[in-house]
Amino acid sequence: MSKKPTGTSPVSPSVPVELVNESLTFTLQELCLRCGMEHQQLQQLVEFGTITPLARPRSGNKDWHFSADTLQLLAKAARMQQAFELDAAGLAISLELLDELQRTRRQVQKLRQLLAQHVPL
Amino acid sequence: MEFKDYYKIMGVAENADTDAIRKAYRKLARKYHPDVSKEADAEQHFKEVGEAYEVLKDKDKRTEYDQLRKLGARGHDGNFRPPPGWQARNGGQQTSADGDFSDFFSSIFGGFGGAQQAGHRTARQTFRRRGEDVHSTLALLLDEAHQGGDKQISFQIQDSDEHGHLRRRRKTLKVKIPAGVTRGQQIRLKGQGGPGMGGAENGDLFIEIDLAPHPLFVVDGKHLQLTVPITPTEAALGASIKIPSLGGPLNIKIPADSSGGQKLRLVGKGLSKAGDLIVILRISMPKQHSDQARELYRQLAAETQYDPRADWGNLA
Repeated sequence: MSKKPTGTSPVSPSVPVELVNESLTFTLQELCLRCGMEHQQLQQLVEFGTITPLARPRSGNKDWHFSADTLQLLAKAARMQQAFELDAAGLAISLELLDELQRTRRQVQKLRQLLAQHVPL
Repeated sequence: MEFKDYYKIMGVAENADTDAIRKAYRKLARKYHPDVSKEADAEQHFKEVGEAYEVLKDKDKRTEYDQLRKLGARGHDGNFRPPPGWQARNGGQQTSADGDFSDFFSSIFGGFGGAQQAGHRTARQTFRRRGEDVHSTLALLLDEAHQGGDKQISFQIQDSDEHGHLRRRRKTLKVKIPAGVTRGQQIRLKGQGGPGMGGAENGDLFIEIDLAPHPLFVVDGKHLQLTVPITPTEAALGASIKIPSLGGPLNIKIPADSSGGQKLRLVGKGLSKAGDLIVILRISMPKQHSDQARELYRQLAAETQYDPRADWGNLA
């Protein structure tokens, strides 16, 4: 049985949306705030290459900027870290493999779909 | 209210020690964690397991739960009712999981794990916390992605009730999806996530677009691929044919001397205006030929000097 909502807001008229593109970036500080992970953990994920700053700043780490996709990745990272008590290395490898798995699955789905139109499977 | 048998959910004996419970949790978390699981209803299972672990790993909570379980507080309908005088605990208790727990859990341990209070009386002035970001996925049909339009989405946010207790609440919004979005595109609705506390900023809602598979069109980023069957005569002589596209039927010209596997690119007819529709030709033969058609093929065979297996050389 799923939890019943304790309150439901009425459907509002369409709210303004923003297509996320390269112009939306976040600093390391903002990422920490938004995904609830420690500064040091994120720094380790940078070292492992799980998340990559967009441009290397001239002065220190504080000016690192990350693409908006990083946020979504870190939301997943936070969920997984909580459930599996992973350290940074484990987290880095898991996220990388999950990403590769997702891309591969999509590729397989696409190729299967194409193939089925040419060769009955 | 349904009684939750946490031991059954975790697959452990009633006298299992903390170590066994932790092991069972790890195994189940690995199996059902929505980010890594392929199981159906993984999320639902994962929530149940998380809730069970939250209770069984904690000595106090487990003792309390065991008492309640022994009391057998169930009505004739098999439904659980807390015994008379049972007070749901509230406040002061530490709950590690950022829980989304069942009514059953809340009836025993208080709402939202009875964990935090949003505005402690002492800290009301200074306690500021940014609302949480919410990440969700929205699956669209290709037509919806192509045309855009209003979609209703529903998600959970964390806010506080009139007493300052944190709770989970379902929020529903109508979102205007821009035309031409593709898989993986992120959309942000600023300030539509969890509400901020103590005057802090609201969180944002991020929606990632996913696309449902289409029986005809194969998605390739902003482009679409469509396999178009044509007859051998259409391939040889060229033809004007009608094909489907997301914007409606299109007339296209098959050039003479076309071949199977050949691609035709229709600029701007893809998922968005920036994307193309790539037509892949497939030569299709009728299942049977009339005597006359056979005779014509014989004449054709005598006429043409074409070896499609010339590449094989001496291998065959």
